[in-house]
Amino acid sequence: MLFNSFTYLVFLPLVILLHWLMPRRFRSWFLLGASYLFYMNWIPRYGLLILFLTVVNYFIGLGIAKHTDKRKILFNIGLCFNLGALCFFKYAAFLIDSIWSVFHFVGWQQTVQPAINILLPLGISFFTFEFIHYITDVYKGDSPIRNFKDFALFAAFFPTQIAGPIKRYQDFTKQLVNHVTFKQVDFRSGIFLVLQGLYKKMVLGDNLGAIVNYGFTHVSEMPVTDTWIAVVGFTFQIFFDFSGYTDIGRGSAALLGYKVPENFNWPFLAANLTDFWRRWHMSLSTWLRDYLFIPLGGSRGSPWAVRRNLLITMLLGGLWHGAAWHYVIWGGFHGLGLIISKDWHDFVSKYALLSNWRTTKLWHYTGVLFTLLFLFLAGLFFRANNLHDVWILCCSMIDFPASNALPHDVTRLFLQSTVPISIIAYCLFLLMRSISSNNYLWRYLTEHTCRYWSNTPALRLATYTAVALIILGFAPSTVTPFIYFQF
Amino acid sequence: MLSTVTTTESRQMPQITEEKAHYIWWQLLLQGFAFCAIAVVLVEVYFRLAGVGGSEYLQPDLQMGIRHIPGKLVIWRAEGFSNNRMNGAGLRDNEHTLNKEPGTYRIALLGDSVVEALQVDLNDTFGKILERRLNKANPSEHYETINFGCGSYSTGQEVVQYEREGAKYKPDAIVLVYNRGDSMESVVTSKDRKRTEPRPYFYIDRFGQLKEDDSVLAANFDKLKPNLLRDWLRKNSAIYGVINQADFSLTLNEPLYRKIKGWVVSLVNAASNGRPYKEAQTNHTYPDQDEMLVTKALIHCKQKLVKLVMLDYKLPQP
Repeated sequence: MLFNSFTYLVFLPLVILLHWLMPRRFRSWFLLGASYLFYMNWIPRYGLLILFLTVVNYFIGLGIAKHTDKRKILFNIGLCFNLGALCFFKYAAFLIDSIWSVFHFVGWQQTVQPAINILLPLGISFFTFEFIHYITDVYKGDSPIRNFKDFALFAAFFPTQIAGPIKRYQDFTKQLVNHVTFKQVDFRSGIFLVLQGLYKKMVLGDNLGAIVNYGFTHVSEMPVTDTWIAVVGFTFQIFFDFSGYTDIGRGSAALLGYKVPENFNWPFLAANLTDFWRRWHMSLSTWLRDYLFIPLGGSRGSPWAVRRNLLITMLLGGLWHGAAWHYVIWGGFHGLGLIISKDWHDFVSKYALLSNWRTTKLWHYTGVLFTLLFLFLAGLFFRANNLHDVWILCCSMIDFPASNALPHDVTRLFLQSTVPISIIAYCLFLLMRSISSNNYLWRYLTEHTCRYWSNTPALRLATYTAVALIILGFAPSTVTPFIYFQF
Repeated sequence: MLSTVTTTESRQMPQITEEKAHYIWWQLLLQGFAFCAIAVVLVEVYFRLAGVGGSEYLQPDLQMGIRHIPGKLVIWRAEGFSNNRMNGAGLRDNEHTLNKEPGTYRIALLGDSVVEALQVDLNDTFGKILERRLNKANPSEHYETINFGCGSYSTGQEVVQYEREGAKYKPDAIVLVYNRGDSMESVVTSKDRKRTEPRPYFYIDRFGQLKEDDSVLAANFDKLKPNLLRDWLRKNSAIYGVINQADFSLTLNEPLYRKIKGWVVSLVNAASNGRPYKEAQTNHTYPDQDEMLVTKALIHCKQKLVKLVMLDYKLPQP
């Protein structure tokens, strides 16, 4: 079930209504049932897969906590089991394809390549990471979830099931134990997040996506402006798409009384790449830090060891995104970027003059600009169909060889679309929300307006209706899946 | 003493609460109305600024089923882009006078969305290109094309349209663009009569004469008859356009929406007690028609009136 589909529009209010009307003791069971219904809406049999993974991890968690002498072996079994499931469903075809490519390359084509046709279960990358986090933390000494229902709900919770944010079980079960209670503030913020997410996804992401897709399918025909629009557009498309998904997920959870972690914190304002990864897909980057980078040695050890750890983490992070070499290259590119960013930071720290400059605004904004440029380039590896296209796009970005009489279709599409006005409207909204001024009048106005808005149901209803209408008006006529659903 | 006070208070309180509750209820309603009105105006302005909701360009018509809204500014973003106004006669074209200037050779273009060509600018429609090329190739002559194309029209509707409106322009030639889909839409089978689009249908009677069957139009009279508010909204409100467009897309793409809409329609019909869909009645019973025979007869009828050029185009294969 897609968050931006009509089915979800019916499903979510029904679940919210029944959830809050239901006696407290049945709520978790109800949510569990709703989550499985949500998941099985696509391919029902994959509900069994998530159930099977849940049962196995539940018992492994209990086993690790109970049998202290066998905890290591149980942990390893659990790890292999989860990674095995992930590899089988996500990487089997990629692996066989790669092996056969090597065979082909060395001229050994005696046998027919076996056809692997496995449909990737939705969200497998996310829930296997949650399972790995669970068994690792239990192995490290945290207490396991004793109640199977609670554990199953942690694994299947529908607002975060398909594309995260990757939850931490300690935070989630605390909410289950304490029983969620209805709070108007949470409910309001839930509606706000859902609407904001839908706006980001349907109004900005999908409309931008149509232009970007056109550009990336006409790579060799694009002049320099078209290329820049397509490349920059993709970086923002993926942000609006994914952060839109996260907002809808977090909003849906808030409407049910649950809190799930944030995933984005103004990533395009990051002044360097390390900062960027602290702001972008935060639940994944902290997962990679805690369960991959630190176990590899983290920042301890020689500079070369740290560089190696960073590179391995990002390469695997890239591979996690998708079973294709361009994702690995994208991860490697980011790994190299992080290494350079860290080395540059160390270099600057050595010299007092440079360190002083680092505190200036000019330094900061230059950093933001360079980080953005890096992200645009990295986005090419993520989105382009092959490396040849990446090369063509890189050349087009610097207008090499100079193009003269080529059509400006992407620019035309962009200007004719609703994207520019939607972006302006969204930026104005963000600006209004984020302006903090000491001016008395401004403070009085904003605080007063906010209070009035909160205390006036009619105004809130009118605002929600207006935003819903705007989403309806600007959204494309067909529903586009979220980009991160494929991971 | 205490009990007296309590009694006094409890006697007074309900009165105060009641007055207050009444006031709050009244205030809330007024507030709701005022805020909704402000929201509607703001959204309408925003939609107009952004050029959204302007793709509502058809209105119900008792004779044709549907027709263009005269003078409507249409902003089209599906499969291309255009931002042009329908002319005063409801044609996707510039204004044309009924009487042509001396020495002008007028060509009427009949067809469906292919002729209408909302996906491109008015100056890039094939009609305009044809006009420019003809005038360029024959500088001594003056050619003028008139675009009668309307999305989803059948060949039958085009004939009715020509007789009703097109003939007034006294064209020297007609270019009829059609495909098999248009032909199929000119006839209705007894099986599809209930769910088919309201439009004039045609059949060949047992004497070989082409006849019009307007029973489906008659059955949909309530839906097609002029409705001041709806027609005004259709022409002037971008919000109405957005809602209608969303309804269309959801009906097309979302099975659950179709199901819920079906239930709602049944409920409304049941509530309106005895006004369900009227089965299209016809005095002429006729067997299911061969659509190509009907199309030939339709074309023949036009050929008698004016010089006719046929353009048959193939639908792209899925």
